[in-house]
Amino acid sequence: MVNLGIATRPAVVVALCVCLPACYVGLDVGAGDDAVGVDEGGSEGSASQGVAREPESASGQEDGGSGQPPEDESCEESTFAGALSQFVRLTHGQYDNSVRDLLGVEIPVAATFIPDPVVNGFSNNSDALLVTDRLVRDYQRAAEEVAGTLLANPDAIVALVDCDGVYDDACASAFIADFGRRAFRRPLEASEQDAFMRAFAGGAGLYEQGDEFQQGVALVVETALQSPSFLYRTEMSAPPPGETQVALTGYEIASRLSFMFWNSTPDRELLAAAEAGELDSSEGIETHARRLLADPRAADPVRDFHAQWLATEKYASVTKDPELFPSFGADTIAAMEVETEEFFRRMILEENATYADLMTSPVTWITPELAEVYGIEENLQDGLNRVELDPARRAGFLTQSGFLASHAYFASTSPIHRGVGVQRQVLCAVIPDPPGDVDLELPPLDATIKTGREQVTSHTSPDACVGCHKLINEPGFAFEIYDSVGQYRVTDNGEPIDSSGVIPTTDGQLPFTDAVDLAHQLADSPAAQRCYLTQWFRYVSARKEQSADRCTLDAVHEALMANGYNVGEMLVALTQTVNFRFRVNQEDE
Amino acid sequence: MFRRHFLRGASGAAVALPFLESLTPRTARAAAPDPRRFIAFFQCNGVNMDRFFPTSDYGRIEAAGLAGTALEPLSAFASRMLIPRGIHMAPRGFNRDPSAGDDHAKGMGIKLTAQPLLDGSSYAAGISVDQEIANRLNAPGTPALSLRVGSGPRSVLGVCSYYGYEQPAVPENNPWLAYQNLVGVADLDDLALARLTSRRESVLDLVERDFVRAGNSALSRADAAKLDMHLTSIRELEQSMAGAGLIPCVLDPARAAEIEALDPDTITSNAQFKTLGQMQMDVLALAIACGNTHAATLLWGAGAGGPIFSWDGMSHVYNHHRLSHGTTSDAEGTDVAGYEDMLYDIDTWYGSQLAYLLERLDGYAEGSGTVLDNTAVVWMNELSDGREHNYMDLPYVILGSCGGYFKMGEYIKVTAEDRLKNDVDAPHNKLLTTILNAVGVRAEDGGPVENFGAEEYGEPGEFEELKA
Repeated sequence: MVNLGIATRPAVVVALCVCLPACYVGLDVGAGDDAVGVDEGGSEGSASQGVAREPESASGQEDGGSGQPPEDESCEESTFAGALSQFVRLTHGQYDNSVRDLLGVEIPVAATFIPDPVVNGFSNNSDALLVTDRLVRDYQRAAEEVAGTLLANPDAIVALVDCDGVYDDACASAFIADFGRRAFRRPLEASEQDAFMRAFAGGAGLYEQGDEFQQGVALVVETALQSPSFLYRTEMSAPPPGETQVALTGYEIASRLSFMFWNSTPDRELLAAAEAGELDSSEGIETHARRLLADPRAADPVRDFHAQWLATEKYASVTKDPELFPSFGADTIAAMEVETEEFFRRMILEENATYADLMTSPVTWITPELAEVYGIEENLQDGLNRVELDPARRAGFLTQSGFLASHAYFASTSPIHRGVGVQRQVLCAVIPDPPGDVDLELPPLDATIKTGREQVTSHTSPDACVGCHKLINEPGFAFEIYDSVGQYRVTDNGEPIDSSGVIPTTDGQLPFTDAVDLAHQLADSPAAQRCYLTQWFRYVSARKEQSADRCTLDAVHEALMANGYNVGEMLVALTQTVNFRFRVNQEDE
Repeated sequence: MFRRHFLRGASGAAVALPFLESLTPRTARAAAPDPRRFIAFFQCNGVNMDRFFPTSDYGRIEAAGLAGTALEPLSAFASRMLIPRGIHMAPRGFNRDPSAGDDHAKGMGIKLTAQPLLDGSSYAAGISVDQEIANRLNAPGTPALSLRVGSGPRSVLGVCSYYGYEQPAVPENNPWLAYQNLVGVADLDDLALARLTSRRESVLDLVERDFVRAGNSALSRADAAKLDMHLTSIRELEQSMAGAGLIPCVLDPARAAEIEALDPDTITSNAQFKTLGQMQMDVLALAIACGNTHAATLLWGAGAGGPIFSWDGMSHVYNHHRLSHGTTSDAEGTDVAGYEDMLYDIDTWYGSQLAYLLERLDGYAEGSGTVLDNTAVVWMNELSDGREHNYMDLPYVILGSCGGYFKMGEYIKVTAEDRLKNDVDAPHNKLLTTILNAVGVRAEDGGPVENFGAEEYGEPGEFEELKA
């Protein structure tokens, strides 16, 4: 077995040099010896061969670094998996969804919970999901509100506790066994069943509304929603002595599946499958993964992942110059949010999209507020419209208003923001923030600097800048065919636009003519595909990838490349891995 | 009842949960007779350095020396004010120390932690001083209160307080939620209160049993710490009302009603910034006065952010961050005419808001003085000069002696260098160490705390010249 290494927190996890941070055309895991960093200081040509990999591990995952499979080790017989907390707290969205699915009633309460921080791009990082004093009180208030709502809604209780009208102790016991199993995502132990029965009996008279039976039900619910077995996705299976990995139980697999595909609790069918041992095999897991993916609830993680990956939270603070863009306002921003959500949901869950489809589709779904941005002249109906844009001008989400307008300035475009967006989000490159003392002001337009491209080129020409900006600028220039809000344009400041360039990736240098061409090339780029896979891996694993995950990601990546990188298949494939079925506990000392 | 045994630290429970520290018996922590507290009044984007500090020489601070500076609104507190001059940040900005994050990130993440920022997330690599104080002095499970005025991102720029390594304490920006958390339940008749209390006791009994089950396996240290924080908070919940002081944890009902009437959708709106700020300060002063917490942070806006100031005589077009750079746009910017005066107006406005907070604290009598006398309110800033993103000669103003620990009414240069903008001998972690000792935190051996923050960047010891 593999020694996972010493897991102490590094005092300072900084690999950056003291002078200026380095940029990497990134990959995700496994720091290869053959990696070549794009060095700072403008050493000529370095970016062109600059193929390095992002150092593995981060975010307090405490991978000592000695546990990863050596680079040259074959992954064929690998059983490596990264370590994960045994107590992954529900996200606030998962809390609301679980309450809905447990009780059959929508009672959104999590909006008032203290928000979770964003770590490495995602707000579901298991190490940062803490239950502080404040959140304990939030959970208490929420559980009390849910119980009160139930009591005010007797039909919901009847739907929950169906004993043919005979509400006796046997009925209560059956309710507790069923509800407890669903809330804790495993069967209750005998002592837990007894304790809930006592709580049920004690509930009578403790609420203003409802009869004694209903009050008992309410107190059971109020209790369960504050229990660690509900609030955390617990994986209590422990490796046997001398081993580092252990296969998860069927119930633990059921939770992994349902939170991955629904951001919610398992349904009865999935729990039954766990009980029947169906989730002990890859085939059984695949069957249920496909069932969950086909359910409408799969829309939630698809929406949430893409919103976090593309930071759509930022749309809300986008402002544009009213003199140049008089119709841009809150309605436009709301329409951008709708488009991003609908595009990914429909493409992935209804159109069976591949990664390439996401990157190249001229089809999108918009509300009339975006017609102007896309130059659509015919009248659109209220609500959503499926529109087919000019494929010579638009290709996938990078050319949609959300990305373009949120990566641009008040009045002008911003090639740097757009280029960084492509490198960081789409290619997983490591691009540090600019040093603090750089002047961010571009030179003014004049007789020699006539376009945005020339402004950026001139401004970032000093030796200290080019190392990173070689990765950033040209992909940014590709998007100069779109203005600050995302309208297609052919001139900039009256000058013709040069949107051509070369983008350095780990696949090599990709020349392109404009953003549409760039998107088409990235659609087929293994580096971009693998980055998308890696981002999903981070999201569904609630942690950043570690070196031990390399073989898992390699295997899924290879398999997907062979069949076109279908996104739904990618999600299913992620359940067919050692990572999904086994756990490695976080280690001390 | 199971819970009663549990709370007494019955050995059975302790055996069942060897990894959870909170289940081992604790020594009772009686409320100190003279509680001392720390409040960070955290402004972002730097100040107009030419018009911030007293115009008088070092030494005694007189109201006249504050005239025409951002401190003028604090004239009434001139004798209860201490201004240390020449402090720099450690780790430093401008890529001077190996640490992730740009200057704004550093200014936010390092100020209360004195720790480097982490590659990847850019969060700080350790606990902040307010949470350290809370861990040591608050009732178990009660962290330092973290409040924000207005909007801010859930990233290093929107956070100044940390529970620990890469564990940011996201601040609450809704004063009603913050107040509700403090006050617990209100306005219930006796019967309803009795029902609620019984329910809560029943619920928590069972919830604690679930922790016993969870603790029955070998947990990693990280998981044990996580569960420990959760369980400790639950046990604190059982002790019912927050606070052990003589001052009840409730606001005047009329004020509470105003806060409750707030539309949550306007929490991040520019126009509400002042209204929200004053509500947050009412809640904060209450939390400090009634004994809920010994430490709190009030973060105004966010690093590289902030509102467009358009009230109290200000009618700016650009937001605070943009004005701090003095230019009209990140790209193709030209100087905003009169931006220095606008910054001075903003700084002065913050001074007047601080005066509001001080008046609130001073309104709570305690011992022979007021709560303010037992508190150190520290006006601090992400940066010094915003346009330069400068981390040297940071603007600090300490208000309240913290029970007589700090000198009062003095303006003191704490660097031996002639140049105030230096990063030689007055790292800010020494101020954090001084604050820890001022509120009564002790080292394990019972002596004073020697050093707070990452040792490799700052210096051990206190600013002795600031101590009374």
